Amino acid sequence: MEPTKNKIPKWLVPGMLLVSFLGFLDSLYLTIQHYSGEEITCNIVHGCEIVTNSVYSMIGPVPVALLGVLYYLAIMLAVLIYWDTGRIKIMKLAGLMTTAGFVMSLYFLAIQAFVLNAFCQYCLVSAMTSTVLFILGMNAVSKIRKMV
Amino acid sequence: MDEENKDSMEGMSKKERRNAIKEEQKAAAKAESRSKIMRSASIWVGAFLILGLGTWGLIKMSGPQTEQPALSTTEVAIGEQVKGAENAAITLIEYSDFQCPACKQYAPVVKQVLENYPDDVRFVYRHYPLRQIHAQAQIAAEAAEAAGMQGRFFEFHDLVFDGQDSWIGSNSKAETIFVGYAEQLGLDLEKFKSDMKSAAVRDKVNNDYSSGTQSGITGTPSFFMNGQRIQNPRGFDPFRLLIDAELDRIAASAVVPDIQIEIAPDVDGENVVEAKDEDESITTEDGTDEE
Repeated sequence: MEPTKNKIPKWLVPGMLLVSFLGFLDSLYLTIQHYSGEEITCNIVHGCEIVTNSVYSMIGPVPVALLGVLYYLAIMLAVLIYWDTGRIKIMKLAGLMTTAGFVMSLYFLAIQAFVLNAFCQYCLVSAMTSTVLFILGMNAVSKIRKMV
Repeated sequence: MDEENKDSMEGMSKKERRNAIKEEQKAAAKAESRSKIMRSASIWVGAFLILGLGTWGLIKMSGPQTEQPALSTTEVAIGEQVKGAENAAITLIEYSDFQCPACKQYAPVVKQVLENYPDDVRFVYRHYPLRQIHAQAQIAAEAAEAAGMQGRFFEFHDLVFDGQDSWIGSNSKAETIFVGYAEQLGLDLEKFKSDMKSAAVRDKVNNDYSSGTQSGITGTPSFFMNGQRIQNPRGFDPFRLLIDAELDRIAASAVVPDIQIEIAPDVDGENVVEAKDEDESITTEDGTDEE
């Protein structure tokens, strides 16, 4: 079993942890701002308040930012469990989960670009982290598939 | 027992060796599991520490970065946007939103009030940008505060309200227009632009906003006269009635009747003294209110 286990590149674990941690901080910031009712300042692009106050910033009563926090937490948790126990199934699950994050990001990117015509830099950061996570996650999944 | 043991050990040296090996393996397994536990512990403790630290740092960072005074509807803090006589008997606080059409309509009414009561009314403008429905309200407020940093808040305020229709459309357009107003007023444009994006200005607007929410308002414009919420008067005349009633009330007030009515006419430069006394009467009122 040892040699097959090593087929998941070693850098993948810290890589995924780092990226999901960044995504976590980013969406946590948006969540805090959402609940504190304070306005976020945009230094790079325009339209933060348009995006974060839009109807698309909520799914029912749940702010999208909070979903992001939970998503990145779940990825971190799964990768940590894999790191600790070496259970490949958990890593595969984490890899597959990144697809959901990626699809959601594409959806919100499209809304910012085509519906709202406004971007929010923190949402763009999240789109970036979830894309990188998706690439890393797919890498892990394909390696795991080759093992069997 | 001892003898028996000795015998068996001598007799079964092979078995003994095997036992010794087993012991060794056991110890090794124990050490391995211990190191595994240590590894797990460091992974999880490390992860929680980093997560906790990150969360804590973020919460600290996302709060106001500059010191802001606690605002109430009975007092005026340093750094607020104030117009009118400093020691006026009546302090009128308005919570307003530059993008709100009703606020725009009230701006000339307030102006008329200040013109008609130059000694009796002091006006305070506080921001209550309704960001959910007014996308440009926040940056309008921030721009006005930036102009305020160069001492031209109310001039800027007038331009923003007058031009309301022109800038409500888009964020970037609004910003360009605000910079144009700053230019019109002869402000230092570089300073204006950087102030507009500064944490100090953002925190000031947010602080006004939260004080409004704490005072129980939900919309704009909302007026407080000497700490009392008043129904928005429909135009100048109803406003005049409210102000006159408040002035009468203060004059008749049991808290300071002798100071206010008796001293004032006797002294030279009565205006100054009168104003001072009235100011005192307000502060006492505030004091009792708070207690």
